[in-house]
Amino acid sequence: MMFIDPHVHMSARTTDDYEAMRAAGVVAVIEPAFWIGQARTNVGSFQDYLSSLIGWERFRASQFGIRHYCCMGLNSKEANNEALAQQVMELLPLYLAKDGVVAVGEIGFDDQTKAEERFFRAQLELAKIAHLPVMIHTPHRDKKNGTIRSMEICQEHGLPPHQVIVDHNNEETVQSVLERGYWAGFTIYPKTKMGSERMVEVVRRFGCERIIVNSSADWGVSDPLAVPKTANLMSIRGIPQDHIIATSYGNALAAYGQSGQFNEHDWTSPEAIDQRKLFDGNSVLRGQEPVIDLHAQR
Amino acid sequence: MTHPSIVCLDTWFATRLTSDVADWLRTQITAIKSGDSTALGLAFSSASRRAGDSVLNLNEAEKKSAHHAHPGWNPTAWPLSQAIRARLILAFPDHDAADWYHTIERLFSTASIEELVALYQTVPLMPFSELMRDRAAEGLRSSMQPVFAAVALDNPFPATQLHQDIFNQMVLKAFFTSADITRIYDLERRANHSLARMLCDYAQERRAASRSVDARLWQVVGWSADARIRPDLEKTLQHGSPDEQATVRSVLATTSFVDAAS
Repeated sequence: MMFIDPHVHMSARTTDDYEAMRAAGVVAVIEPAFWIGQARTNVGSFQDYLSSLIGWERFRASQFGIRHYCCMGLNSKEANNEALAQQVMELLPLYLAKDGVVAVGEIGFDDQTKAEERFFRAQLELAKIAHLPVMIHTPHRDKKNGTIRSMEICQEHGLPPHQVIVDHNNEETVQSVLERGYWAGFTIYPKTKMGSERMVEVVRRFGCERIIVNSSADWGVSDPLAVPKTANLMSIRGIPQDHIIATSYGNALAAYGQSGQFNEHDWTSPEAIDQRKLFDGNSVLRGQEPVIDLHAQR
Repeated sequence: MTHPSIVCLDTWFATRLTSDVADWLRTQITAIKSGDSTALGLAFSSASRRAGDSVLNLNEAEKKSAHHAHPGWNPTAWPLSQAIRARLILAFPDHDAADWYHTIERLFSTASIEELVALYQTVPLMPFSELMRDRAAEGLRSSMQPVFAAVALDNPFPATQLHQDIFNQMVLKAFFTSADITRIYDLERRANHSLARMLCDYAQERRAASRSVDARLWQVVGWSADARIRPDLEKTLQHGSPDEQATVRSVLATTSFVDAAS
């Protein structure tokens, strides 16, 4: 079975994770732009980070047979440095046009400050111009209120709900997100917040429509195998197969496929892609190829 | 006078672009020609969304015209999106070297993998070759194999513009990363003793680790025609693989070694 992890910060993960994900059946990942653990202090580091999402990290993933895509955006936390945030806003239009960018994200609220709101709104407008879906990071504190506020703001800016993925849901937020027609992302954390068992029950209760499972694995304690493991648990717990496929693969494909940059044939028919194999003469991007010795690259 | 590579690209586009894409390209070129670097950046990035997956696939006459426009330029396998990207770059006005360089550098510093490949493959066609030497060397330092290959393979720039030390490191890295060294332009002409020495040492290192040696390495070593590498060739006749031995025999038969310092 093939899996998509549509929210994972691979820049923070080791090659062991890529190998494990590949072995578990993950074929594609989406890495949204985020902060890196401590606040950036100048626009240059933003630029270089955004470049790495479409450059080195994308290449690194390909070495393990995983197709890597990204979302571009100014995250909520760093929106609070307004002078810097304004400079980042000037960079974004260029980066949104790059290959493999499947959404504006992850944007939204962290502490729900005025500055966060300002740049959230500005990026919603960018998403409309760029014709891209939006990935929304809902706050971990005051989540229910923050989630509803986020959706209301999307509505004010005229974004159709099917173009917006509201992420990091829990049992308290899922109903209002689904009711309003948005995609509902669920991040599976190993210890705190939403776990695999609870996710099974969410799907049992709400079905699979517009529900998307992800790991949001990053530099903290997190599990890059959350998607395949949750799918496996769903199977054990008697969730129908088509529900499992939808929540761990099909819905992510549909939601982010709206960008035009995220297509199943990218990983099922890698020969359809492209100039890379013409230049190096070997098939580094073929999903079925064995791991290449990265030490040779140094 | 229009740059001959622009004439080539426009000729090839005439039979390959849909009218939608051709119209879009024309509009972008007009804006870029006026010095609009933002238009250049956005058009450059979105080129692959416009062009789809096809490849230039030049016929024999077209290949000849490419080589005639710029010796060593061989874009037959270029994706259409890459050819469009090259055309966009070449549209930017070059009357002010500093302004031109600043704009093109900005493309490099914000580029995706595909964009970097397009940029480095277009470097030989760019004005101000001497300004692009450091940038080409930077491309060779890339850890992303397609980017390294975009400078090193099917690209006349290294052989015609890069200093021997950089060129030698490029060849060594090509062997190191199993890139197809037969696609390094003008390698025979640029082969030198220093490179031969590095390659012999590399072969020795591989042999000490019981790892295979690419037989073509000995061809490159032989091209330096420097008598000082004869002992390494002799040793390979004794200890090399059958392929290596065959290559060395051929090199010994056809090379007039020179007893001189390089």
